[in-house]
Amino acid sequence: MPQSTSPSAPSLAVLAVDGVGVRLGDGDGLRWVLRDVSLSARPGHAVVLLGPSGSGKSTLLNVIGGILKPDAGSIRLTLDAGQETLQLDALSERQRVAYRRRHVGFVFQFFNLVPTLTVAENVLLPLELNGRMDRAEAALNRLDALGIGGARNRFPERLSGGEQQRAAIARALAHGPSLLLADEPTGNLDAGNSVRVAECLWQEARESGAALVLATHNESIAKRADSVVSLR
Amino acid sequence: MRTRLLLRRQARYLLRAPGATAAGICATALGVASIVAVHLVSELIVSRLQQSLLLSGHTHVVRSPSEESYFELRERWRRGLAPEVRAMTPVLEGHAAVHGQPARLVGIDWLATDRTGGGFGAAQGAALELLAGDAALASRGMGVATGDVVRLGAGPAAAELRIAGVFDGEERSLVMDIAAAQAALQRRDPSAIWIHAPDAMRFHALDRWLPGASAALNLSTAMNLGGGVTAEALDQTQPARRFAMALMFNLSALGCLALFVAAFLIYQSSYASVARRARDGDRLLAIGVSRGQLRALFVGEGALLGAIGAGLGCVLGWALAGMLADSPLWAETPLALTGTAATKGAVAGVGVGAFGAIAASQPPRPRRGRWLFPAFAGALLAASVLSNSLAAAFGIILALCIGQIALVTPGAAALANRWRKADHAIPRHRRRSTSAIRRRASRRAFAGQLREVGVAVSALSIAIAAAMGIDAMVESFRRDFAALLDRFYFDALRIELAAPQQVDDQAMRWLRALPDVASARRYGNAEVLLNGHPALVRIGPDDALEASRYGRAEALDDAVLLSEGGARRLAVVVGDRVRIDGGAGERLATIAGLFSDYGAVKPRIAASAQPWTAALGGATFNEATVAPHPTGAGAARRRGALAETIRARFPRAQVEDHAQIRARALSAFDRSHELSSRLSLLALGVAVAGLYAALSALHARRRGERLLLYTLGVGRWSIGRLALAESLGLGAAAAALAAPLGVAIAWVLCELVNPRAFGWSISFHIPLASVVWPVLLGVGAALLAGLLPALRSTRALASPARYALE
Repeated sequence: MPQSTSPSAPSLAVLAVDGVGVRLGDGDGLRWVLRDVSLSARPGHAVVLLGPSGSGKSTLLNVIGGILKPDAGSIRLTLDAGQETLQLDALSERQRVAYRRRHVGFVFQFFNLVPTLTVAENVLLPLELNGRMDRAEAALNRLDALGIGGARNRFPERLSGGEQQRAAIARALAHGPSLLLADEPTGNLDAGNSVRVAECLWQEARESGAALVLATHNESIAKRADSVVSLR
Repeated sequence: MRTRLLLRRQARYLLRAPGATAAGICATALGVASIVAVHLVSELIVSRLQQSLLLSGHTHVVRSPSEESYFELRERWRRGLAPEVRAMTPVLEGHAAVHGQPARLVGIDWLATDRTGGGFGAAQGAALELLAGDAALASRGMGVATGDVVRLGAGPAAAELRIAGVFDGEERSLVMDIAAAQAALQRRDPSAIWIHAPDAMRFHALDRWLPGASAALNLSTAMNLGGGVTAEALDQTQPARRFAMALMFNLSALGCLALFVAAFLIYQSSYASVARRARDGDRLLAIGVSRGQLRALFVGEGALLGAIGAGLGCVLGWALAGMLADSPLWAETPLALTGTAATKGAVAGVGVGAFGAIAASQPPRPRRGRWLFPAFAGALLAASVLSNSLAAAFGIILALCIGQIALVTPGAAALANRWRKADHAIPRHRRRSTSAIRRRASRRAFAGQLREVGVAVSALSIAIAAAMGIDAMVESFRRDFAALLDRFYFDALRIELAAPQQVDDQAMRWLRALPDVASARRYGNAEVLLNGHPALVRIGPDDALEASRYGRAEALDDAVLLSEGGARRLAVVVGDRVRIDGGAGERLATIAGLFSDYGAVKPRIAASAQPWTAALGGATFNEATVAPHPTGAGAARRRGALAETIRARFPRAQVEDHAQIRARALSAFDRSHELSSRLSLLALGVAVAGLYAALSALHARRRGERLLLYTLGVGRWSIGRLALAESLGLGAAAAALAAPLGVAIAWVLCELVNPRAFGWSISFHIPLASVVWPVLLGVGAALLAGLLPALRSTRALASPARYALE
């Protein structure tokens, strides 16, 4: 299975999820939390996962992010116009870690930033993991673009919820991922901050050419998506 | 109903966090085990030291009375003039040949013993036979069994005694009726009167709970029986017992320290538990449960875990004591777990469990209150330094330990935290590094951890410091003692004749004429009054060799040397002139120097024979040493043959090789060293359990952070390594903080505790091994404590259920 671990300029990727299913639990408690889900996303394309709590939105994001392995179906990431293809459901643990490190940027509802690192260090962390500290200036400049340049030397505990999420977006995009996965990124914010953070996500994903997959149950955010996948 | 559901909730918390529950129980069990083991070993050593004495259960002794003075004393007692005395038993002691081998004979007036208070042991079932005079009790060292017949003495005066019972004891001893002993030893006057007066030994209750305390605190005092007769307390008359108690007391302190460590660790673990359940507690308060109910449940849980830990600790301590005493649980006659030891363990276990829970469930202190503990430690330290008492010396150690928990570790954490906050800028030269940011995160996490699990780190540092301090003290003590033995017992045979025999000029000529003897020296002992206080004088040859044994270059002439403890007790120093009254009138002498005399009860004086033999009319010259020719093949065999020749010439003499005496004396140290090593490991085990509980709670709190790193592409094992490195950092911090405390504890034990408790000083010496091993063990302990939480957190990252959070 070919895979790319050497960081380079942002790769344009096409994500194809086909008939994915995930079972959780054990023994009699084993149940399908996700069944026969399919979607696709192109570079700069935004897919929204819509559904009530318990419908499997986060599970699907974790499967796409390589944290969980699907029990059914396949997930394929085609990079650089077909020059390289990753079959995620066939990768080993070590390969999935490398895949996440290189190709995926995560934004969560909680626990977005490492509390013992400053905002700037949080943003630089993916670059350090990929051995691409040469892109540090560009990554830090994104903090200015997101309006939190003045907070770069602060620890997360000193930031508001909205600032933390914007810092998380900067961190998620720092290493030029092919996929940007956002799990309820506005779920913990007030209405004003929700709009600003969502705006940042759309814009940054589009500009960087990353495919955005966003889980939410906020209908107004879903209206802006290129496609919507409803989970029940 | 409400309480039942609350109890069920409490039980489920315990079951759902089996690691934390087990760690709490384990910490208590190890702490309790340490005190139970020390207690049982102490009890065993004391009972072995006074095996034969236990036959009568006496508490005091009147030495060398005449038969008349005994009857006068008894008459006064019967008239009610000595109400504290329950029994008064005349005893005649001496040595005689039994089957041609010397044995100690103890003749007791059985009718005068107190059957209710004194442990009669083997004599209980054989009282009538013993009264008849033709039966005796034998020590196990005699190698005979009940019903055997032994032959006492030689020639026509020989008598046969039937063995009516056997008691424990390694020395060759026979206990018989006093009339039989008088006949065998051909003496009338008793050697001593044993007094059974337990009410006069009020402080002995303290020994039951803290072995060696009454000896260390000098609480046993003489009893005035009227008519000018004074009975000395047993503790004051048994140097060997006092010496062993001294060692035990030092070790008891370590046992208590392990419990002290356990108490703080349980606090830390309870605190983590309270923090974990804080939100749940708030919910319960919101639905009407009172804070008092919540606290009662929590304290009850602490006491329950303490009780379970105490039970396990008692068994563990019992097993450990059995192994140390060569009497493991699987042996035919295992060491008994006494009620006192079990009670002590149970009280300690439940106490520390409840204390930890009470302390942890207190609301956070206001800022001003945070100085309460440091202020207390400071005040205790100041008061202890100003005082000259033994309690003050222990007060210093306690203050240092509290200071470590309340001031030193939080101070170190604050410093580390300040550095963490100041370390913001990203140096350009590091930007290409592939792990600089992760290392920085790890360092900062360590600074935060040091603050969050500060009590556990302090407790680990105290455990390391205690191991260091006690080990250094025991090693220093052993070094000094070995040096003393080197001077006094280097290469000779020691001969001690049984009273009234003396090593006279004829005996000396005979000894010197023996073919394998290079030299022979004679020693005398005398009881004197030194500045009006009872003291012992040892009279030796007036030559340079004898002077060198006391660390002097020249012979003494008419000056004397005084024991260190004696000088402290009489408040005299080198150069002072003292009055010595040996029965032939008072004489003034200059103190030329001091010497160490471990275990001595009375002040001791070393004097030269030539000027002092005549001045001390009552001196008994019943000791001699002979130095065999040192070299040549078969030297050991010739020494043995020489000893046999001397025994044949003096059948009642005790002839011992200096090497044997030396080995026996050092074995007490080796045994105590073994015990202190085991206790140090136990204290570290306590620390591991506590640190494990604290780190588990910490890792649980940092689960989100680790998950984030995992999603960013940091591998599970990298995250595990980071977690382990943080634990290692905590261990290193604990070891670094422990080193100065360990040196301070060793210094206080050597320079303050031992001189104040026992009157001798120890040359303060820190062997490298005493520092290095505890530090390595401490760091290893932290690593061990962090291993499982780190493994668990990495394993949890791979668990699919963890990500199905919706």
